[in-house]
Amino acid sequence: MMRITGIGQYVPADSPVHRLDAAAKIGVVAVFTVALFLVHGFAGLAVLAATVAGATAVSRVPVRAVARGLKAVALIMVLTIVANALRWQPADALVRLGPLAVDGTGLRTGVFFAVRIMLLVTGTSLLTLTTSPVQLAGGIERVLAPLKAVRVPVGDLAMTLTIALRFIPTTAEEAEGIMTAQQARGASFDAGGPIARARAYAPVLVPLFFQLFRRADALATAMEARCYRGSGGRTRLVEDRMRTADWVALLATGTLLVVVGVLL
Amino acid sequence: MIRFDSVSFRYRGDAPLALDGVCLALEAGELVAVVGANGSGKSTLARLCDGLLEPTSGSVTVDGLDSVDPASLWKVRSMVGMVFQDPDDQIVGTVVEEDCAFGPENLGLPSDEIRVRVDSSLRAVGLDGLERREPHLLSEGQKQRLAVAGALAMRPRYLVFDEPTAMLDPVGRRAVLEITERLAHAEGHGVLVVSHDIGGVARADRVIGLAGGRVVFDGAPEGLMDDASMLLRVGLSLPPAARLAAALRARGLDVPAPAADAESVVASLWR
Ligand SMILES: Nc1ncnc2c1ncn2[C@@H]1O[C@H](COP(=O)(O)OP(=O)(O)O)[C@@H](O)[C@H]1O
Ligand SMILES: [Mg+2]
Repeated sequence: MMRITGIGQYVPADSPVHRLDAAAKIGVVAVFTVALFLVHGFAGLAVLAATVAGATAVSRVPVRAVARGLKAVALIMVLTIVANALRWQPADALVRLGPLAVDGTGLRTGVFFAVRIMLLVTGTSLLTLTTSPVQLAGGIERVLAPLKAVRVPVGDLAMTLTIALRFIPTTAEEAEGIMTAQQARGASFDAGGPIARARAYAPVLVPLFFQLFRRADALATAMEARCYRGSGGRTRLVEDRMRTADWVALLATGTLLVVVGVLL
Repeated sequence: MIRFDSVSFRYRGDAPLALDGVCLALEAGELVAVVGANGSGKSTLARLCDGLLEPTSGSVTVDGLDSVDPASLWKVRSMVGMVFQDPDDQIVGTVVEEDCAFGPENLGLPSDEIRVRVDSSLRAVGLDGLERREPHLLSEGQKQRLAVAGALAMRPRYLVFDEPTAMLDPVGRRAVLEITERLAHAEGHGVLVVSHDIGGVARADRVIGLAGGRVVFDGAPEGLMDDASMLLRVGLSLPPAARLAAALRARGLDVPAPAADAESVVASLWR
């Protein structure tokens, strides 16, 4: 069925990281990513790795959940190391495999890039692991708020995102219902090769899309009936805002950026 | 008062009239049921009440405000709460309290005022304690009550329900119908309920019957229940107990009219 892979999926908990404002966390991740691209030595990388490890520990997110994201990029990491380390008859070889050899500097570069990818994935997944999708949508809205000046409908985009999140389970249920109905009439979704299987899904997707359009229309009417007229002038039940802790976190990450990018 | 003044409506220029010269009034504190066969114009009537549709001719006013005048349209929509048939078509929030807050948020109210309204609306429909629950984890009946709470949070004077119980089991149905009755009779809202549910019709102060876009009946539920040909015309069939009651009444026995269930027929015979 509609299996959600669970990569970076919100893990509810009450931790200082969870309590940070979503906009602040987005800022922290952005600054951290810049630092990751400015860093040019293993010392700086070690500092950043320690930061991620520390934040993970404080967040009380199970290491397993963080590691799940790494599994997805494990292949890329291995390829990065191999592609950098293997040379054709290099001068300073560590290990020779016929004309191919593992090159010392290449290996260092490969590992450096691989660790960088690893930190990028774990650092950013910590954002989605500790922030509920709705808070994240609200955070994105506030971070992008300046774009309203150039007429980007930031609020409407955030509303669209929230509604999409709201309808994921409903749509999954609907798809399940349609599949059950098709199976009752003899359809099979796991027989044959990949092409036959993909084709079996067409009679599911067509009614599903039909349903989605019908629902979108009905939902628009219901939203209008509840006085929705675009995001302008809307207030919120919970007004998120940056508090002292959020500014401290942002400032600390900024300092980290300077230390790693300039000093190390 | 919601007032329809010879309202006609067609969906497209060449389509037949979905509503034809409808005149009606809904007062505050009144519970009115709207019945009619499929396609008789019930949903069209409901959508005209708060300016979701614009009359082709005639006018709809809410406490004197024109429902489609751009100057009063949003005021009208905040005065008339709507609840539709499928709760999944009207829940926009990812958790219960967030959905309930959607209307007040659109009205631009301050956070603490929204909080007060959300709490009281959820309490009014018995969903307090489920504030942080995700809507897809609610039963259909709870979802529909959430839709009612979302409408109530706008503090409307009128509420319009379009077949609110069609997707519910008997328990959920009774709960929603009880809420409609309480909102009208205890809290003084003007409530219009489109319903195929004979139980909902029996509770109403007044029934409006539609056929082919015209009002063919406007009166007390007893009058409708006793008129077999009118019942047929508006696509209603009585449950066996009510049919028995009507037959007994026709032969001069004193059985109270909105007797939709066996219990009340027995009670009135056993005196
Ligand atoms: N969106 C629409 N576009 C065109 N025709 C419509 C639309 N909705 C309803 N109708 C038509 O208007 C008439 C009344 O429909 P409706 O008010 O939905 O009836 P009811 O709710 O009583 O079943 C029907 O003939 C229907 O086919
Ligand atoms: Mg209808």
